[in-house]
Amino acid sequence: MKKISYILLVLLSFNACMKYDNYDLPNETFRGKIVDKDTRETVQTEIGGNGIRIRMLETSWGEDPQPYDFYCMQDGSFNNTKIFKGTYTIIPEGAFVPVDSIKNVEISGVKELNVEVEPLLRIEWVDEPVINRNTAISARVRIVRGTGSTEYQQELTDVYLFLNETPYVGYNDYDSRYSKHLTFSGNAGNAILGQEYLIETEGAFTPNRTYYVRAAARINCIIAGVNRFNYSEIKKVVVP
Amino acid sequence: MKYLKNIIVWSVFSVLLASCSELDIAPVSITGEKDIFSSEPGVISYMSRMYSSLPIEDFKYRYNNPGLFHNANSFQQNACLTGEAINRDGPTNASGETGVYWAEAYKLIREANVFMETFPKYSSAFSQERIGHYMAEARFVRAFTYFALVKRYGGVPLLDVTLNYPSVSLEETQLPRESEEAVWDFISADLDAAAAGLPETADLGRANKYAALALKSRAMLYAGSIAKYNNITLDAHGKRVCGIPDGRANDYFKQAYDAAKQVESKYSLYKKEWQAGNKGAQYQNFVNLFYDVAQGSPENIFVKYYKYPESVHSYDCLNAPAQQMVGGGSAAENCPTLDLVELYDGLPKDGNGRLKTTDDNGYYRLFTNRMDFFANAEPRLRATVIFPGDVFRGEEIDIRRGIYIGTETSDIPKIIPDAYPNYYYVVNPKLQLSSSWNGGRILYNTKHRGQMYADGQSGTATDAWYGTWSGFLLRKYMNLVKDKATLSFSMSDQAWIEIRYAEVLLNRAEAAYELYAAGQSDIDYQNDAYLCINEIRERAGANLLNGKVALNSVDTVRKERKKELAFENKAFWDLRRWRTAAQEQNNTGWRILMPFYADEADKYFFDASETHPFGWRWNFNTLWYYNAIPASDMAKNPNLVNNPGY
Repeated sequence: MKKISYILLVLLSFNACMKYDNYDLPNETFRGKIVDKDTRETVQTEIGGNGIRIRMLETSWGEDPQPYDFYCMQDGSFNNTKIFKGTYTIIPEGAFVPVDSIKNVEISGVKELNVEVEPLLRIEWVDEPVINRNTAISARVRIVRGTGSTEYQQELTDVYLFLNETPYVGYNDYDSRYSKHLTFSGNAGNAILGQEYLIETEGAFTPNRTYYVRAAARINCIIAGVNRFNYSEIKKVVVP
Repeated sequence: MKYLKNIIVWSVFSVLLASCSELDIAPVSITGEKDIFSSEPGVISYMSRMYSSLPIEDFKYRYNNPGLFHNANSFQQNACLTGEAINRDGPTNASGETGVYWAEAYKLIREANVFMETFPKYSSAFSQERIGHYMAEARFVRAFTYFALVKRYGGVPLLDVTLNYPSVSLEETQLPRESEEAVWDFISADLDAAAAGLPETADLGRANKYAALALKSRAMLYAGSIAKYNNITLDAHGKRVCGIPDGRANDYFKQAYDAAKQVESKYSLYKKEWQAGNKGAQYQNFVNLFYDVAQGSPENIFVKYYKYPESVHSYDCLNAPAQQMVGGGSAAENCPTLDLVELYDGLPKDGNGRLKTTDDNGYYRLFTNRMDFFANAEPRLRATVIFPGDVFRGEEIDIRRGIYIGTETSDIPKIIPDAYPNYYYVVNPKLQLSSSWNGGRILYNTKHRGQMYADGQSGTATDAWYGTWSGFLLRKYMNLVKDKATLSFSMSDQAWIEIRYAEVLLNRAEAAYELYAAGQSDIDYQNDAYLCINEIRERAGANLLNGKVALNSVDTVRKERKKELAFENKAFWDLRRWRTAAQEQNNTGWRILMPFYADEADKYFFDASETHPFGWRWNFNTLWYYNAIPASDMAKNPNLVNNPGY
C-alpha cells in the first residue's frame, strides 16, 4: 500500500511539469532603413542609445503596451529577426526631425519598412581622407542642414573627426587620443555650414595600422532627451 | 483510542462555547494609532523614523546603488560624476544617477500624510503650540521628499491625502503625473507652512523654522533654473510634466531670494578660529567647520547625526591616504582633480587659468619641499583637499608619481607632451616609476634623501590602485584624528551637514544675480549678490571681488558655489539644473597633478600635462537631465508616462 502511494506521488510530480509553452516563437522579421528624404541615402548614425531608436508598441492586445526598443545599425538600417507576429505602432527617433508614429504595421513573415526623414545635418566627404607626415589623417568635409524647418536649425555646437581601429566608430566608441573634437560657442559654429571644412586628427598615432575615420556634427537640439550627432559614412585608412 | 476521541470532542466544544462571549479587549501586544499619537515618546518615535528615512545625500548615498541611500560603504561619492574627483572604482565615463528613488519616496510621503491626518485625532494631550510644531515638521518631511522626486523625475503624482485601498478602487490609486510646475509650487507651499509652524530652535537633528526657509531657497533656486535653462519638454494628460514655462523663472528666483534673506542674522558663517590675514588660522577654521557640529556652530542649519556604534558610515576608511590604510580597509577612493583645484586662488596659473608648473622657458620650476608650491594657496582649498606633502593626522602625506634620474640639476625639460594619459610616463627612461602598487613598487636609493619608494607612501603607481589617482586626496569632512580604528569599514560617525549657512548665502547670491540679469530692480540685486560672495570669500581666505561691477557674470557665482560646496554632493544637482553638464563633460578627460622628485637636483617638480590615468573621457548625455521612472513602477501604474528618451 505504502509503495503504491509513493509511486503515485512520483507520477503526480511528473504531471506537474507537463504544461509547456505552446506560443509560437518570435520568428518574424522586421527590417528597413531610415532614409534621407532628399538624397535617398540612409541616415548614418551610431550604435546604441544615442543612435536611432526603433520603438515598437504591439497594439494587438491593448491600448497601452510595454514598449519594445531596438536600435539601428550605424549605416542607418535595421534588421530584427525575432519579432512576434502582430500589429505594431512604430516610432523611430534619431538625429532627424521627429516623424509621426507609424500606426497599424502588420508584421508577419518579412516586413520591410523604409522611413523618410529630414536629418538635422548632412555630413559629406569632399574628397578622400589623406595621411599627413605618417602621423595624422586629415579630411575635408562639408556640413549642411538637412531640414528647412527653422524649429530644428539651432546653432552648430560640436564637430568631430572620430578615429578608431575597428569599423565600429562614432561617439559611442572612439580613440580619444587621436580623435579631433571642436566645440563652438554661441553662433560661431554656423559659419562653417556649407563650407569645405578641413579637420585633422590629434596627436601622433602609431603607423602600420588600419584606421576607420568618420566625421560627425551636432546642433544644440535635443530629440527625445538626447543631443545626438549626425554622421558621415565611414572611411577606411591604411597607414603604412 | 476512545480517550483520544474524548479529548477531541471536548476541545472542539470548548472552542465553540468560548466563541460566544465577546472579545473587546484590545490586544496588548500590538501598538496602535492611539499608543503612537497620544504620547510624546510615541510621536517622537514616529518622527525619528521619518527623519531617518529622509532622502539626504550624505556619506551613505551612492548614485549607482539601486536604492541610492543608506549604503554601508559608499565607494563613490557624487563628486566622481562632476569632475570634482576621479574614483578608483569607476565610473569610467560620465553617468547619470542610475539608482532609483520612487516607491521609497511615496512610502515616506504616505507616512507624513498619515501623521497629518491621524495626529489631530489624538492630540488633546498636547499644547496647541506643540501640535503646530509637529504638523509643520511633517510638512517639512513631505516637502523634502517631493523635492527629491521632482529634481529627479520632473512632474510626479501629487498626494496630500492618504489613499486607502480597498475603500478607493485600484484604478483610483493609479494617479497620473502632475505638471512639474505644480509640484514645485506644492513644495513651496509646504515649506511656507512648515516655516510658519516650526519653532525658532529645535532639538539636534530636527528641522526648525530656518531649516524650512533654507530648504525653500534651495528648492526654488532649482525651480527657477529649470524654468530658465531647461529645453527638454514633455506633455502628458494635458500637463507639462517636464519643463516649466520661462515666465515663471523670476517668480521662483524671487522666492529663493526672499527665503534665503529671512535666514540672515539668524545664522552666520563659522569663524571661531578665523583671523584676518592669517592663512593658517583661516585654514584651521575651515577644517573645524565640519567637526564643530554641536549646537555651538552658528553655520549649521540642518544636520544628520551619526553615532558609533549604532549608526555609522565608512567615509574615513574609503578616502584615507594609502599610508594610513589599515589591513582589510580601503584608501583613496575619491581623488580630487586638478580641474577642481585650479578653480581656487593662490596658485601659479597661465593665461588660460591652467596651473603653471614650468618657468617662462618651459623648464620645470623646482621646489625643495612639495608644499612650497602651495605656499600661497587659498586656505579653503587646503582644507578641502590634501596637497602632496601636506601634514594630515600628524604626518606628512607622501605623494609622488616617480623619481627623475636625469643628470640635470636645473632646467629640467618637460617629460611628456600635453594631455597624455599617465601610462605614457612609462616610456621615459629618465624616470623611476612603480609599476604596480601591489607588488611592483620600486625602492630607490636617492643621492640626498636615502631610500624611498618611487611612488611615495600614498602616491601613484602606474596601475594606480590604493595610491591617489590624481595627486590629491580628500580632506573635507575627514576625521582629524589618526585613530586606526576609525580607518576600518563602518567605524566613522562624523555628522553630515545637509544645510549650512554658506549654501544659503550662495543660493541668495545666485537668485539675486539671476534677478539682476533679468532686469529686476526693486532691490539692488547685483550689490546684494556681490556682498554675499565676498562674505564667503573673506572667510575662505580667497581674493575679494573688487566692487559690485566686478560681479558681471553668473559664472562667478557658480564657480564660488563649486569651490565652497565641493564634495558636499551638491555639484551634481547644480550641473543638472544649470543644464551645463553636457558642455562641461564633452569629451573631457579630468586633469591630474603629478609630483616628481629630481634626484640629482634634490628638488621636487610638478607635471600638470596629463588627464585621467587610463585616458578615460567623460561624455554627459542630455538624457540624464531627467531620470527614468523605474520600469517596475511604470508597470504598476498604466497612467504614468516616462521621461523623453526612456
